[in-house]
Amino acid sequence: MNFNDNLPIYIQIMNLLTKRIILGELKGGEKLPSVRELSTELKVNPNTIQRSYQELEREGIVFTQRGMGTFVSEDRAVLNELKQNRASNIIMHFIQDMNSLGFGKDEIIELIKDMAKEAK
Amino acid sequence: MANIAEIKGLTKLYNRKKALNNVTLDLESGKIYGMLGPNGSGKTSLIKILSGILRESSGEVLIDGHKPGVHTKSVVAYLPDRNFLYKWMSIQDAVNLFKDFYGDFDEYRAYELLDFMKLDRNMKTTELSKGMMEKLNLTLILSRKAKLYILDEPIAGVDPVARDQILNAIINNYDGESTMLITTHLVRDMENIFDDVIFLKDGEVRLIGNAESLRAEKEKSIDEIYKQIFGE
Amino acid sequence: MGKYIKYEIKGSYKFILGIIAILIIATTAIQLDGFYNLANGFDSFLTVGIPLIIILGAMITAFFYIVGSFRKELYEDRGYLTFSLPLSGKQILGSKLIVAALWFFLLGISVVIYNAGLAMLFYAKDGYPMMKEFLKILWSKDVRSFIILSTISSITTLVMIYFSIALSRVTIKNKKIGGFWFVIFLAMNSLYGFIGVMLNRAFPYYFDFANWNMMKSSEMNPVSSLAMSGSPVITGGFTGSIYYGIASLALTIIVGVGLFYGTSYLIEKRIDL
Repeated sequence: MNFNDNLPIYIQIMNLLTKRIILGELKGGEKLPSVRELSTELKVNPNTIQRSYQELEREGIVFTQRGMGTFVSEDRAVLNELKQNRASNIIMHFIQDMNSLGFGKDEIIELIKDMAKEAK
Repeated sequence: MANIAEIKGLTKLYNRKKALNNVTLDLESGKIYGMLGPNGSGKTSLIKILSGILRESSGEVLIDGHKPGVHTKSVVAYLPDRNFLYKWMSIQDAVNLFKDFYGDFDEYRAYELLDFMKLDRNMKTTELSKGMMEKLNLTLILSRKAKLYILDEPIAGVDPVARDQILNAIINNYDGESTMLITTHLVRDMENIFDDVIFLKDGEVRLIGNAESLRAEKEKSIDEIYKQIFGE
Repeated sequence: MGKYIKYEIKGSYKFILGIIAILIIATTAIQLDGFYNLANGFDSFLTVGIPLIIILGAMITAFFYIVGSFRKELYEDRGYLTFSLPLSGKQILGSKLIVAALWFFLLGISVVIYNAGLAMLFYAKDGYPMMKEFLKILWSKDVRSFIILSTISSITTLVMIYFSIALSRVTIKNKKIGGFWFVIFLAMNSLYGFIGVMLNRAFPYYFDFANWNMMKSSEMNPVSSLAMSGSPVITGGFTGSIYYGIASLALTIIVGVGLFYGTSYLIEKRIDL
């Protein structure tokens, strides 16, 4: 995996895992790879992976069961919120990019409507 | 957390030149340290002093509470940047030697690692390529349950496959209690395995800190911070 | 320390066995020549001279190999292993000395025994009594004490060589002037010899270990005793006994022990690889 330069690695790993959860690669209730497994896979210090898991747990996205490992939350509300957050993020970026190309709010909406029709 | 190594006012002179200038540094247990700096920055001198094969000119070094000597050599696992095995040895001889001299050496772990590295025990050490040699030396070092591992340029000059095997071996064998001190020129390849980084320049500690904090604070990778410090 | 001795032996036994093989072949040639000449009555330089040169060469090679193995620890990459083992300088040096002594002994003994056996075979008629006579001489008090005392003196010399190598490594970092140790050794050895002579002159008592007999050098028969004033060893008297200068012998032991500690200190506390 290539890491972005200007973000702490643990945040990038959190992003990676939430992406996997949103995409359904990791389903609600599914076990995350162990710290050691992920650490080997990504070639990242185990302490860093541990920190990502702790932060994800603090945000309620995953939970730990003693001696069993770390699991993806089964709470639909949490997962939906994740999805919503992700969607807002993508749209915010998109709007910023379009703005920089000189498109206004209404123009963007028009363009999207047209594109959506054509795609049908 | 307890310190495995305490370095106070360490200076090493070669003739008049200062290879190390008043270095003060503690290494905590349970951390992987990256020691970064160009050639001549004093990395190797510091490592050799910790390993007990070089003497300081002044200052003090304590490892596991002892000055470098017989005791510290029994708790420090040192991977030099060169082929240090005796030329007459086979891989098996080298394993036997480590088993004989180091009480913390785990023979079975060594055989597992040799398999993982795809090394044949019957090969002579003189028949090995640079990459195989590096893998063998690392196997021997990581098969010890040492308190302090010192790895000098563990991935220098090896191909990408061997590099991945070596990185995996380091991560898999890191138990979270011992300390690792790793030097490398290939900052980009290794920076993600460091807890803390130490930048050495002209024999002095230029910057030291938690790798993640430094990334957050400077909004740069360790590799870029390295280039910034040493590119001046 | 026993473990380190094991690895010292493992590292050098092939070479030493090779030297022994060469010595055995060369001495066999000389013996064959002697046997053949006895039968036919003529002589040849080729069959005696060349093997003699080979024997000399092999002994010198073995000597430099053993000395060189110590030098390699200080100058080559293998030192990174040796000096990161949890061993003290005394243990490393002691092991090296023990193995060196072992090899010199083995070289000497195997060649002597082999040749005695070979001679017995050649001159089978009177071989057995000859062998018995030979062994009697070999096991005489004189020869035994000679072997023990020359071992002591050889070990002191070897320690002095090791000390010179370690000192030159510690003082001069440059590999190219590696031969500097020899200058140190020559200077030390001359000084040691000189002091020995001066001590023997100041305290002129000599001891014959075979007969447990002490004598003052002035009391010895000046005609039959073969020595300069102050010489560390006097072979003398009608008995052929060997007298050792007490003062110089004490000096040998003191210098040997002192340099052992000195060298151990250098390789443990002053080594810069």
